[in-house]
Parts: sequence; C-alpha cells; structure tokens
Amino acid sequence: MSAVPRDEWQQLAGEYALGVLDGDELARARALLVAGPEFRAEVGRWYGRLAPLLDEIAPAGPRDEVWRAIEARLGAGEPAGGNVHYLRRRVNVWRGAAAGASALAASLALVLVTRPAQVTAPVETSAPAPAPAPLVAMLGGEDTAARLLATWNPGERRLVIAAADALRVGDDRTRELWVIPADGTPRSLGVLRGSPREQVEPGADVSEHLQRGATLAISVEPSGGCEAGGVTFGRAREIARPTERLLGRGHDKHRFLGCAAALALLSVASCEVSGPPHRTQPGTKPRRRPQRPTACRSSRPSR
Amino acid sequence: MDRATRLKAGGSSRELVPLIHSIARGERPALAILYQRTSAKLFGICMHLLGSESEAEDVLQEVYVTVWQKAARFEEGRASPITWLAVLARNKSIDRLRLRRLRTDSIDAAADVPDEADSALELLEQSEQSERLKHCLDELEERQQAMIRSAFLEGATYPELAAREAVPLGTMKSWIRRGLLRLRGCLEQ
Repeated sequence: MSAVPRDEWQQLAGEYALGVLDGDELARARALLVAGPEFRAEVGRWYGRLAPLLDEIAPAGPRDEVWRAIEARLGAGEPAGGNVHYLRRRVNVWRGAAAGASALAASLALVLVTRPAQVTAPVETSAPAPAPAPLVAMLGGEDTAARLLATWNPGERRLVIAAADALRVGDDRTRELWVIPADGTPRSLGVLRGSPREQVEPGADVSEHLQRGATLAISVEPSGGCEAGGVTFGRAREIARPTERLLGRGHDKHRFLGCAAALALLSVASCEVSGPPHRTQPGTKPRRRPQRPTACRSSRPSR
Repeated sequence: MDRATRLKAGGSSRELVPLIHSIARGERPALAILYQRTSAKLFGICMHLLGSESEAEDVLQEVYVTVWQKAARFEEGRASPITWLAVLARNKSIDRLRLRRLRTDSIDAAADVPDEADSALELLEQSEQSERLKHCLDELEERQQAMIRSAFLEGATYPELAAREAVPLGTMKSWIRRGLLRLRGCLEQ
C-alpha cells in the first residue's frame, strides 16, 4: 500500500465500490484488492456507506423454479426438483383452499413426498432404497411467509421440525403435529412445545408412511391437544369443499377434517403424493402400483 | 412458497444472523428459510440492474450458492446480513452486466475477480442509516447525487456516465471524485 498515497487509494476504493471504474483503473483496483487489506477494508466501508441506496429498489418475487434450481446446484441430499415442485403445488392448493375458509387461517399443512428416484426402482420385493436421503418439506402459514421446515431422516427415523420463529397461538392453545398417510386417517405425533427446533421419533408404522409419502399437518388445538387423537379426528365433519374445485380433475378426494370445535387442519393427503397427478392414472405407470394403497383409489367424494 | 408470500418476507438482523450461522454449519433448511425471507428483496435488486427475468434468476441462484459456500466468512457485527446479501446481489448483478457488455462490444477484456470482490464484501462495515445517507446525498450538487445513484444502482461506469451527460471523461471523474469525498466527509461527521 505504501507505493500508493493514502488519499489516492481511498478514492480508488470509493470508485471501485461505486462501480464506475474501467480499464487500467479497474485493473489497478483489482490488484489492490488482492494485495491490500487496507484497501479491501476501505472498499468494505464504502459498500456500507452506499448500501442504503439499495433499499430504494422495490422487491420482486422470483419464480418458484429458482429455488428448485438452487437446490439442484447444491447437489445431492436435497429433494429432487420434481418433488419440490409437487410439494409447492400442494401447499399452494392448501393456501387457496384456506383462503376460502377463514376458520382455517391458523392451520398449516404440508406434504412430504417420496423421491421419484426411489420409485423408479423395482418395488416388487419392497426392498428399501440404499441409504435413503432425507426428505425436506416447507410449510407455510396463511398470513405469513413459509416458516417451518420439516426434515424426515429415514436412516435415523427422525422427523425434525425447524421453525424460523415461534408460531403465534394463544395461551389456551397448542399445536399438534399429525401425519396423514394415504389411507386418510390422521395419526397424532404429539403436541409441539413451540421451540425453534423440535424432534419427533415416530414408530415403525408412521415411519413407513412418511417414507412412502404422507401429509404432515399442524393443527391449532385447545391446550392438551386434540382429544383421543386420530379417533375424534377421523370422525370430524367435512368443513369445506372448495379444494375439490381448486384441485380439478385427476385428483382424489381431499378432505378437510376438524378436531372438536377448535379444529383446524386441512389435509391435502391423497394417494398420489409419491408422484405427479398424471402418473396416477391407472395403467400409465404399472410398476408403481404396488406402492399405492388400494384405499386411495376408492376415496372419491362419494365415500 | 409463492411470489406474494415472498414479497411480504423480510428479516431483521436479529432473525437473520442465527440463520447465517446455521448455514455456515451446513444446515440446508436454514438456507431455505433465508431464501424465503430475503429472495424478494434480492431478486428486486437483480431485476432492477439487469432488466431481464432470466438473467436476474441466474444471478439470484449465484447469490444463494455463494451464501451457502461463504456463510462462514460472514462476520457478525460488521454488517447486518441483509446488507451483506443486498450488496452481494448488487455486485453479482453488475458482474453479469459487465459480462453482457463484454459479449456485445468486447472492450475491456479483463475478467472479473469474484473472489477478491467477495473478500472486500466480507469487510463490509455496518451500513449507514438510510436517513443519514439521504441527508448527505442531499448535501451534494444535484448532478453529483444523480451520477452516484446511477453508478451504484444501474452499474454505469465513468465512460458511460460521461457519454450520457455529454461531458468529457475527465469532467465526469472529477464530479464523482469530489462527490465521493464530500459524501465520506459528511457521513463521518
């Protein structure tokens, strides 16, 4: 740095951070960036000085595909792109439906999907895929940014719910976690404590459902949780129908289930969670049929 | 995670710092949450500079991949995460702009040096308050203020600004240099 007068490199640092340099001056600034910690620090200070200008720019939402592409670039260990897309569809459908039923405003739901890579393997033997990768699902609230992440690690048989911040519920309410497998009967995974990271280690049967693809949902319940768990839950009345319209053809029945008076879970569980809807048409993907519980196929609105 | 949701997203430093730490430890879900919170702001910056959705999307990807790789080098206390991210998005967008120009007129063949540029970003100081910067920019001559804005928010270089204002290159340089000097003086008061 000694070769360049202080005033001069300070000025150059400002010009570099501002982005106006080109040609020889730019080359000189770049050389100083490599060689001069003081110069680098001054560039850093200039970024700090000028950064508030960026607040003037209006935000804009990128397409959902961008996040998928980022996940793909970060490599293995992430859900494959098709899965994430499908998951988003589900969550979006849920959002749309919840908007039509204000009682559901506090509820959340998401779908964990199995990976197509596993599904393409022959399933006749029911052999587990080697070293199954964790499944990750994002969960969104009606009036907030999505802020929960569920990670299912089949190897450790552990489900981790990570919340970016605490969910707002009243003192007299708790959140209960549910898994709704393809048979449509919700099973309680217990009450969530409300900490940023909660861990559930479900039993073998629930684990298998998660691995196959199931809906995870969080309901807001009276303190203590939903009485009698799945039993009460399963008998609850249907409270809304708009999903059938939103989902359109090619989907199985999606039921909204209530728990006592406080309810609120919306399930988009269905038998095609392990793949996109068009693949669920009978006959199009015969090798995948054994994975699909037969109960799914018959769960039409008339049921 | 739809567009409307992300548009409402944001994040205070208090919320984002633990996320950056989690990312530095390799926790992938934390990156997803960070993306949820910050992608609308960053994508707005990329779109503003690049004007093309597909290019802005490419750059946005680069930004989050960089965050994933370099979160450990983010120094808490120097700058808020959102400032770090915003400047990172701005710088990467400008790199892309330069690359685009390089392709069209093949002048200034110097390749960018992203690693060095990023290392300067690691030393990003605590950001000025918007109000304070606004006050100090207002102290400048109107054209100085306009040129500084154009440079930082549009990626315009000295030759481009000179051509745009139809003034000699030397004149443009001295406007901006005097402007930066005064700006620094005002901000350091």
